[in-house]
Amino acid sequence: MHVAIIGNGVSGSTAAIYLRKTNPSLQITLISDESPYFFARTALMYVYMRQLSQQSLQVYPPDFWDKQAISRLHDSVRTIDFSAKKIFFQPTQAPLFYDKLLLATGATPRKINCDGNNLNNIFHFYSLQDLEKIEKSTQTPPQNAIIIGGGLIGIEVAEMLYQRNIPVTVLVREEAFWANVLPPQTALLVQKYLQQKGIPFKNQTEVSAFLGDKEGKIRALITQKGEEISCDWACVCIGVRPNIDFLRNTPLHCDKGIVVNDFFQTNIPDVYAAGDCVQFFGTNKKTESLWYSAKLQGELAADNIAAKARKYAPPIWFNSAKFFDISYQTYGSVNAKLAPNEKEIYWQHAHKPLSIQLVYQENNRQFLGVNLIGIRGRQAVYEQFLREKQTIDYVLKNLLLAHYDSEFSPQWEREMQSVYMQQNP
Amino acid sequence: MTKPENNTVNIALPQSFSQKFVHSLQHRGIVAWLLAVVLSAFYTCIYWFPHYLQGFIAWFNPLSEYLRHRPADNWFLYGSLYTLAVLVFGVRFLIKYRHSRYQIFRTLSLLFFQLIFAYLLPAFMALMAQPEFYFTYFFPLDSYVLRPENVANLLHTPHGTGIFFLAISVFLSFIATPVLTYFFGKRWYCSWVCGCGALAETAGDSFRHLSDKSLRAWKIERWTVYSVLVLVILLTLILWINSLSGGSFLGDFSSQFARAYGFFITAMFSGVVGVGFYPLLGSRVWCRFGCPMAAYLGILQKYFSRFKISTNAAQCISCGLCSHNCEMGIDVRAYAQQQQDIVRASCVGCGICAEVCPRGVLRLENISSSK
Ligand SMILES: Cc1cc2nc3c(=O)[nH]c(=O)nc-3n(C[C@H](O)[C@H](O)[C@H](O)COP(=O)(O)OP(=O)(O)OC[C@H]3O[C@@H](n4cnc5c(N)ncnc54)[C@H](O)[C@@H]3O)c2cc1C
Ligand code: SF4
Repeated sequence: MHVAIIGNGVSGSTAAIYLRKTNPSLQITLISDESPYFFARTALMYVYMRQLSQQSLQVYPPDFWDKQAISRLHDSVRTIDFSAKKIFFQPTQAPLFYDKLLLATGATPRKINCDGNNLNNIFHFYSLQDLEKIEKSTQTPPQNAIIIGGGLIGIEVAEMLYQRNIPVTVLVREEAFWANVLPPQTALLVQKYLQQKGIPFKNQTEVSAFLGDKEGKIRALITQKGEEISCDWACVCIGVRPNIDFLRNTPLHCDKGIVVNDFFQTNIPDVYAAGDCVQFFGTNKKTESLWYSAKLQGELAADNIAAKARKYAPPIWFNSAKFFDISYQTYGSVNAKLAPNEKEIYWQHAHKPLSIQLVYQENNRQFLGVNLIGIRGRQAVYEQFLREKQTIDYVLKNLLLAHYDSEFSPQWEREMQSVYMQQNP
Repeated sequence: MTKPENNTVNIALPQSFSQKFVHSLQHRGIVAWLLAVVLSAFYTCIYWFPHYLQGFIAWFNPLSEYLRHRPADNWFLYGSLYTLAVLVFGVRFLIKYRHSRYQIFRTLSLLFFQLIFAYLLPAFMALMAQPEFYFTYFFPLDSYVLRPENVANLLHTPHGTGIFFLAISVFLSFIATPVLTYFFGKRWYCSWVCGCGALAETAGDSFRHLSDKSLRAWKIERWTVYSVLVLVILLTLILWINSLSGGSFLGDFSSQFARAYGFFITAMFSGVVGVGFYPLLGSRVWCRFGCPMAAYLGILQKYFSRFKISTNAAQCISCGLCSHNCEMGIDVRAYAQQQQDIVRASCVGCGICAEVCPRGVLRLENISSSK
């Protein structure tokens, strides 16, 4: 049996490895137009920052794929004939037949729908090719670099340019950095820290048009308030959408993403989808674009392809990130704006970028989630608190179990406990 | 639809002269080769041709007279430069990792042991006409201390200081080492006390990424490092059998064996290759492929220790910074991305993987396995 996988990102590659583990005789082909090998998208920034070589982006050693007998095809899929089970590439290339197909085509950056969005020197940051373009365009440093979007990718690009001493301004739609996800005091804490480092932010600012010069290169942008901001370099980081345009006019059921059930099956038999490109049946949005989710989905999809039914159940929510040198972790559900029946206990260091926010339900005191800034928590412990539906009082009493900062580090959890003692004498 | 493009842009290649210089130094360029040649030549002179260094050695006479009341020799020159390098690069390391208390504490410890126990105390003992003895350097790394001729010397020193030293040495090798390694892993020695570790962590910090991460290198490592341990044990046994049998056993062989060990392992491997090749093979080549103490500690760490590097559940993003920075060539990412804890004989517990991980996945811990 031949399983073809389109996309060698984390979901496609993980699926290939899991399929091989359980099915030694299967024929597996991994197809990608981006890179001949699976690489860590999450680490692209560290190559630009000279902390990693391009070589070490490869998650597995170069001879791994041959040893695993996983064939790789470095080409772009144009379309798929689902009834004949054939994948088509450029016309000179013979089509590829499959018995089962996994679509793991990932995501693609969202564009701003406005005048001038195709000017030169406007970039995105998603793929290896994007990184190459950013490298080329910054070898002579721009004078006025602008990043549009106050989120995780935007701040990564800001850090990249900052590290090369290129002045950069960040435009944010919200009233503070990532304020659609972070609660206001945390968003402000992070933004203030970054401003002190020398990254100017322009809040509540959206782009309504880009202006170009005679050579077709960006020279300025106009905000929705009508302000003109001059810039000679811009990177648009306003999120991603499923990479499914080449599947639009086929019988495959697509909405915002490729629609799948909890077993990663699409509406077409023997065709599965996983990772950033999917939308689960019954929801009206794409899946979250997270490395962890894409990886887990690839693993589960592999089992379902191998006819071992494994149902997708989203794990207890967690995420982690880094804003320059500030680490961020979250477990459970912490809304940017607390719901009416939710309460919080909050501690923040007097002058360092450190904070802990614990959220609980007011009526039964059930612990709902935590946000950590500059502090590391032990995932297994927080998950246990959440799974067992512990009360906030229990969590606070046992908070040190979740301490995960390196040895000899201060136990900031104790500060949190004393805040609680003051509030509940 | 994007078409496959050829990789035409070389990402993050150096632009300015200083960037090019650093790149060449840290990526086996011409600068690295030159430095390796100079360092190896220096080691060769120290060991076998000290007369080439006479003029240089003379510079250190005032310091030697002040500390030891005797003129400098090649070993005093070596010890002084070594300690100086550890101190200077130690300060650089402390600044670089100032945000981590673990890094600060262990680096201060390394500097302390190098300066006091490996440099000043031996000089002071020379001043007091006491036998040469290093408290931080014992069997099996010190292949000399338990040899019959040295034991005989120590037993006959006046006031019994030699007996005291001998007792300490045996205690450190056979009691303190297993006990401390059980509780803390081999790091208590390799990353907190050892002089070789001190130089590797400080002066060698810029070369830590050069260690070979391949499976093949891991295989070679296991062969060579345990072979050296077997060699040093064999050597000591043969010397004792020979000495107890009044030299009748194997005749000349034991002293030739000792000389060969001194030449190939102590001088060539730990010195010329171990330090001289920092810019080519990375900073812990000796610790990884040769050191018999590391082999001994490694067996204890793997099978009789609470130490491990734990992985924070599913948080790894496979970025590879941990593996890239591992001076012992451990592919940390391969474990972390599978949510496995890392228990490896070779891990010296420097903690840099945990330091550089952008998601705080890794934590050095001493936990009893039953937990
Ligand atoms: C810069 C950056 C940093 C990130 N950092 C984090 C982080 O720290 N933590 C986190 O949780 N998430 C992070 N993410 C998100 C995470 O990388 C994604 O969620 C994850 O990579 C999705 O994996 P995937 O396998 O679904 O898709 P992708 O990684 O997008 O892989 C899909 C692959 O399919 C190929 N493909 C698509 N269509 C075709 C076609 N028609 N023919 C051939 N090939 C095709 C694409 O070229 C691509 O290589 C980051 C993303 C970016 C861009
Ligand atoms: S540095 Fe951290 S996130 Fe990156 S591969 Fe290692 S453990 Fe994973």
